[in-house]
Amino acid sequence: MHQSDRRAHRRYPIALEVEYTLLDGQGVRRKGLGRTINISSGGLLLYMNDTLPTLSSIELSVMWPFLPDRSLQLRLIVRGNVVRVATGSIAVEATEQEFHTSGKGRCHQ
Amino acid sequence: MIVDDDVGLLFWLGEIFGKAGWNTVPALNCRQALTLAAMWDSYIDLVLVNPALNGVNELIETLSRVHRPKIVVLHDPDIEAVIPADGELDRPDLATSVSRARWAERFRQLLTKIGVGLEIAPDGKNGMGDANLSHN
Repeated sequence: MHQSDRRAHRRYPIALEVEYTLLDGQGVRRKGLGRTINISSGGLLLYMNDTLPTLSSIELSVMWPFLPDRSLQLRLIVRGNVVRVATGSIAVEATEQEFHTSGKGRCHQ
Repeated sequence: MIVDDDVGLLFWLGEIFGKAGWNTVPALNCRQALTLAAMWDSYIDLVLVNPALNGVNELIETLSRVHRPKIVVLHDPDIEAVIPADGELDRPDLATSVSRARWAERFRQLLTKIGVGLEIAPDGKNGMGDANLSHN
């Protein structure tokens, strides 16, 4: 199996709050909250009460929670597409991932 | 500091150390790691890094000069990359709680061997459980 294929199946179970922004050609269409079920190099599976259209563009924002002294705040930004929708959950395929810092600059992948 | 292009692995390992009371800084590539290291006020004690990433030698050289951290490389079994390190381990197979627990135990043993104590409780909600970590 190719490395990228194998990694696509390596899903890490972790529950974190996610802010989502649904995008369309004119910009922001809707914002809301969800929660991660698992995260892989290829995307995220999320609990979500909102119903989102399949194949829509989406941006997800997840706070890096392991810096308790808050001397440096980091937020993972994932851009991608909604590829699967089920009752109470959606799957997002990531096309771009980067960490943003709190006002000190930005670190692209 | 954890440097890997697999964001899921960053979160998973971040949680292991976070539960033990450590701050962890993630980076998706070596350039980003150098940027974050320059912004980080504290010393970096330990670096977990994917040795196949571009710029990994420069990253380790720079961090070693400034912070003198312990270096642990996390290998993909089918990718050969040789860099100076205090320890090495295959990347975790986290498909089941059993494989997670086995990997966590090997990880704990490796860190103990290089002077970092890590205790991981039996598999918890996310396959990690609570941990106690100490610096030597």
